[in-house]
This record gives sequence, structure tokens and C-alpha cells, in this order.
Amino acid sequence: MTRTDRSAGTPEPAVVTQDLAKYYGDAPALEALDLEVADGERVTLIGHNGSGKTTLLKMLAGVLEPTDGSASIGGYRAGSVGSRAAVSYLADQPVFYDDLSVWEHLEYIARLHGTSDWEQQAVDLVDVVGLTPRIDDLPATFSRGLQQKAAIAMAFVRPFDVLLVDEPFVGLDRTGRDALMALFASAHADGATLLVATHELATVRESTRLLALRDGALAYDGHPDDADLAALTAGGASPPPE
Amino acid sequence: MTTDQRATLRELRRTRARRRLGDVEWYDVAYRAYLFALVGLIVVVTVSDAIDGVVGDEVDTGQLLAVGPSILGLAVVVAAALGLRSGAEGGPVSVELADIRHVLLAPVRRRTVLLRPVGQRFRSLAFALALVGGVLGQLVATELDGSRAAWAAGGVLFGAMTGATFVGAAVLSHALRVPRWAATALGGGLLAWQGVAAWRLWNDEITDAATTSTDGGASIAGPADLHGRIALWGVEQHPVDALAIAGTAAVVVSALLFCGRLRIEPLARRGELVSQLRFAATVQDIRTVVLLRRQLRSERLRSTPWLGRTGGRRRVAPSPVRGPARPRRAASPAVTGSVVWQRGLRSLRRLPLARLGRIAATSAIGGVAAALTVTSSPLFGLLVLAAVFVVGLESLEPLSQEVDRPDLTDRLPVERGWIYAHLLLAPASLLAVAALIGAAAGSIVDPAAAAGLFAVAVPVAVAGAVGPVVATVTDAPAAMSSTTLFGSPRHAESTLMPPEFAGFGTIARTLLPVVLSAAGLVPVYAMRVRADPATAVRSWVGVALFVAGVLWWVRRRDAWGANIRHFFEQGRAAA
Repeated sequence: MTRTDRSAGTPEPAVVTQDLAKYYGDAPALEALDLEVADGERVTLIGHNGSGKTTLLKMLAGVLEPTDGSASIGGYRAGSVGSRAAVSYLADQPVFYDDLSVWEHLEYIARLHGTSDWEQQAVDLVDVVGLTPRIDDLPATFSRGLQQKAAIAMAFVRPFDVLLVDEPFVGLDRTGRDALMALFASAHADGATLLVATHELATVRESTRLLALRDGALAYDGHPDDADLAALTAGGASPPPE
Repeated sequence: MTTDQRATLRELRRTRARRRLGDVEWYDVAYRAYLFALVGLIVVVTVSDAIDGVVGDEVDTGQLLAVGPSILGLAVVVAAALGLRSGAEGGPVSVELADIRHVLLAPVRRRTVLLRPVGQRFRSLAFALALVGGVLGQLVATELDGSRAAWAAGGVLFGAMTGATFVGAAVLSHALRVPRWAATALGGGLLAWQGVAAWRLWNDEITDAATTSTDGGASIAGPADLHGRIALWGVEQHPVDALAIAGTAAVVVSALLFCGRLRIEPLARRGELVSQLRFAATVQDIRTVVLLRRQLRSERLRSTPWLGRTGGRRRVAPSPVRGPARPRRAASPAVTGSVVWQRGLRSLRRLPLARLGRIAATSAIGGVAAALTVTSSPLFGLLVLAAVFVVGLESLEPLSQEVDRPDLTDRLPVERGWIYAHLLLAPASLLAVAALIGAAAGSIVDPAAAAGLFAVAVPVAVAGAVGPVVATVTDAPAAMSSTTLFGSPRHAESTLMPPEFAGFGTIARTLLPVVLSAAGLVPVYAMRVRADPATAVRSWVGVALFVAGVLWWVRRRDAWGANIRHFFEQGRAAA
């Protein structure tokens, strides 16, 4: 299953959710969300803390089971092997094996995803995010910022059709930030679908579509230029903006 | 420290103790005490029955007094060596994080604050080992000459002194900031000294040269011989034995005097980990206990792997202008097991020296125990079981890493079971090496058993690791699903079950891995019954079938779970 294969056939939306909901006990984290993201869209997801952004991304990545409804990636059920091959997920908290270096992580992930010319890809990525001097070190021992850079390299070293990103700028220095924005732009230009959850409103204008969540429900879905960003990201547990 | 500060500290402790006692479920405590007493009684009766007649007729009192102190002294020296290491790694006490932040960082004398936890540690370990010593003394009294009271008193005192030696050595080593290498060297030196003393006496005795050696010929005195004499009070008491008691008392007093110098950083680290460790021990989670113990010892995987780094990337340089292109799938992206096998090997190449040393030492102990099982008492099989289980747990690093990070595994485009099964290949090679170390050690102790040991060593080690494999794989969170295996929703109300069943389930979960690892004993007992090539071949075949079954379970476990879940969900829907 590759992106090229899919785009050659019927144009399946990149992401589809139907009545997707998640409850922790009685507390709703995300309520009955219907969403469709077309192939190649660059979507920014905003909302206050606890609005449901991370929950939504985790369900799309297949690491969290919905309480109700369903989600699919390019026609595959979220979490299935097909969807895992299509989705690259850059989580808000980087996770690493304690026993592999940066380079060994990249090799393991790239080869399990069947990446072509993975070595060149890995070397270029490590160079771009500025991790070359630490390439043989264990990322589990890194600072938060360096871990984020290693996680970025891991997310981009493998083929993907949909990139799910959660709070990617946390802990990043200027180099890392610029590199990440360039990688986003490059992936989008190459036809990938991006769904980025962030509190960094300065980056919102780069996207083609804005989604805002408030208290687990969709509060805005439209073009970023038409949105009142301050109102959409104001604290939760209050009525949605008019 | 002012009187007011001391009073405040006392009041804080009193209030917290009152609250803790208020929260205690006395019925629950009584039930645990009842269970502990019941299990203890069963163990004592079983052990008593097992050693009945084993010691009695073959040992005369003179031999016992000649050899016993050096051999028993080994226990005290081992306690001292472990204590020295524990102290160098930040042990042996742990203090709550809140106490560290609010009390130890306050302008109060640290010794006043730390006296209590150090004293508690002394009390608890000395009491536990005194209890064991007392029970063993009673049991030995039924086999040997001497009064029961004297044997029990000797056992109690010896046990208490061993416990106090461990804690005292650890506190002193920590407070005096003994480097880890120095603690290892000192402990190893003491152990070697006592070991040589015991070995020479033992050899003298079995070559009937006891008279020469005990008369002061070629034998040497070990550092803990006097401690060992106390355990033999049932046969003979001597005033000079009091020197051992005085020595231990001096260690305890020094530890209490120096305890104010314990370092904050390791105390904070341990404070955080010990609460998790206690919880893991409470729920009988063996693997988590082992993982947390490693963290307590600050045991980290090597940043530089053994045999050098991998150098594949040096073949390519960064692209000069365009930066990384979007990754593409290879034309035929067949994922082979070699990727995972290589990942496993890399993991093992980062095992720290301490862990490799532990694997080698435990394998050697297991090998010696296997030799003794074949040629002497079948009870040594229990030691073999413990050794193969521990070596298995220590060798499964690649699998543990994968199981502990389901978020990473579940993002890979292959099934978990496939990865887990392939990750067992590298540890299997390590187990084979460990098995040969064990066989070599067993052969040194009993050369007559050498051929048999080498013939079955690998099957024993591999089958013994099956328990840890099952414990590790069952630790993995269930594959993503909102229902339990039986199709019911995963919320608390529906998973509540009567405590009798929950308790039974916990015990079964805890014991199952040990029972499975016991399959590793079958070849050893088979060699005991009949040591010939046919037995060895049958052992290999049997273990191969057993391991293949377990591998198949590892590979298909998630799929079978999904099928069962689907079956029950359909049933519920139909109902």
C-alpha cells in the first residue's frame, strides 16, 4: 500500500471519522466527531488544554481505542496494519527504546517500513535537525529538546501518506523549529496530508484548513484567515464563541 | 538542631503515624498475618521433612566445628559484600520524596532525621534473618547433638548479625562515599578470602587431613569464621565468639553515627523508585520488580556497545543542497526477520558489565546446582530453577524494551507477535553461552557429571527462560480494544470479581511462569535417572517441541485474543 497506489485508484479521503467519541469514565474527552480530511490537505488543530486534540490524534494513530464511532485512514481502520503503514505519528511525548542509539532507531523504523534508500534519508534528516554529533548516542538520555529532534527524524525517516503531529514545537530551539517547518512544507508540497495540533498560533496561517476543538467538540472548521484565533483558544469549560 | 525543631519533627511523625494507623484495615492485616503463618508453617514442615536424615548420620561434631564456621562465615561475608555494593549505589535506606524536600532540605541536623529510617532498616532485616536463623537452628537441632535452645539462640544471633552486617556495611559505604569499583573490589576481596579459607578446610576434611589442618597446618582463618562459630552454638560456645558480636556492634554503632552523611541525590532517586517497587511487589509483578531493582542500582545500558559501533551511515554523506527528500517505499518492501534479529543483537551489545557478570555468576551457580542435582540431592533442582529463571529474565532485554513501549511497536506496520517472536532469537544465543558457562562450572565441581551437563545445558537454559518470556509477553498491554477478552466492556464495574477469584488469578499469574520454567529441570532429572546419549537427545527433542509451542503462542497470541473477543462480543450482541 503506497500513496501512489491509492491516488491512482478512487480518491479515498485521507482521514475520515464518524461519530468518533472518547469517554474517560463519564467524562467526555471527545464527543461524536464527524470529520473528513481530503488527500493533501494541511490542517492545523487548535484548542485549549483538555479540548481533545491529543485524544483525537491518538485515536487516528491507532494508539487509543474510541469509545464510540470509527476512524479510518485512507480507507483502512485506524490501528490496522494498513493504516499503520500510511500514518506517521509524531507524539507530544517522545518515546524511545533505552537500548538503541539514534541511528539504530532510524534504521529499525525505516527498514521495518520498507523505506527505499533509508541510509541517505536518515543522514539527511539527522543533518537537518542538527543531531549529527549525537547520532550514536542513546536518545533516552537526551534533553527534552534533543529528544524532540530525534523523534522528528524518526517520524520523517519512513514513508507516510498522513502525518499526525502533536505539539511539535515543545522544547525545540530555533534550528529545530526551522527544520521542522521546512519538513512540513516539503511533505505537504509532495502531496502528504498533515494534521498538526499546536498552541503556536503563529504557524496556523501556513495551513490550508483550521480545526478548533472546545471541550471535546468541534468549534471551528474553515480557513485559518477567517478564524478568531484568540477566541478559539481561550480557556475551556465555557460556552463556545459565537 | 533546636528543641523546637526536634519537637516539630516528632510531632510531624506522630501525626503521620496516627493517620497511617487510622487508614489500616485491621481485618486485612490479620488475614495477611494468617496467610503468612500458614505458608510459613507449610514451608517449615516441608523443609524439615526434606532434610530429615540428610545431615544426621554423616557428619560428626568435630568435623562440623572444623569446617562449619568458615562455610557459614561465607553468608556474613556475602552480606557484607552486597552491603558495600548497595551503599556505593545509594542504598540501603529510602526516604519519602516529601521528607527529602521538606525535612532533609530544611536547616535541621540530617542525622536526627535519618536515624529513624536507618534504625528501621537495621531492625527489619535483622529481625527477618534472625527468624530464618532461629527456624533453621531448630531444624538442625533435630539432626545433630546439642540443646535445641542453644541451636535456636545461635541461629537467631547469627541471622541478626548477618542482617546487621548488610545494613551497616551499606550505610558506611554510602556515607563514606566509597566508589562503586572500590566497593566491588573490597567485597570481592573479602569473599575470596573467606572462600579460600572455606575451600581449603573443606578439601582437608574430605581428604581426611582434618587433624593436620585444625591443628594449625595449611589452613587459614577467614574474616567471618568467628561469626560462623556463633551459628554452631548448639554444639559448642566459646568466649572468643563474643569478638564477632562486638565487631558487628561496632559496625552498627558506626553506621548510626555516620548516617547523617547519606547523600541527598541517591536518596531522592530511591525515594521515587521504592514506592513503585513496593507496589510492583504487592501485585507480584516479578518483571517490574526486576526492572525497578536495576534502576535502584543505577544500572544503565551502555551508551557504547560492546565490539564497537555500527558504521553503516559512514557510507553516505548528507545531500549537499536539497535536504531530505520525502521517503519512498522500496519497490519490494518485504520485511525480513533479520531487521528484528539485528535489533535484538544490538540490544544485547549494550548490556552493562554488571548484568553480564550477574548472568555468568548465576549460570555458574545453576551449573553447580545441576551437577549436585544429578549426583547428590534432588533438592538442588530448586536452585537450578531459580538460576535459569533469573538468567532468562536478565537475558530478555530486547523483548522487554519492545513490550514496555507498545506505542512504538503499534506504529510499526507488522503484527506485534511477529516482532516479539523474532526478538527472542538474540537472547537465545546469549542463553546458549550462559548454559555453557553453567556446564563448565558444574563440571569443575563434579567432573563425573561433565558430559551429561554439557549435553543438556542448552535445553535447560532455553526451557528455563520460557517462564520469563511468558511473564514478559503477558505484561504487554492488550492489543487495542475497548472490551475484555470475554467481550465485556472494559470499565471497572464489569471487571470486578469476588476477591477469592481475583486472588486465585493473581497467584496463577505469578506462579505460571515459574511452573513453565520448571520444564528446564526435566533434562536435569532425566540425567539423574539415566545419564546416556539417548536421554540427551530426548531432552533436546522435548525442549524443542515445548519451545516451539511457546513461540507459536507468542506469535499468535493477539490474533487468538481477537478471535475469542469477537466470539464473545457476537454472543453478547445476539443475547
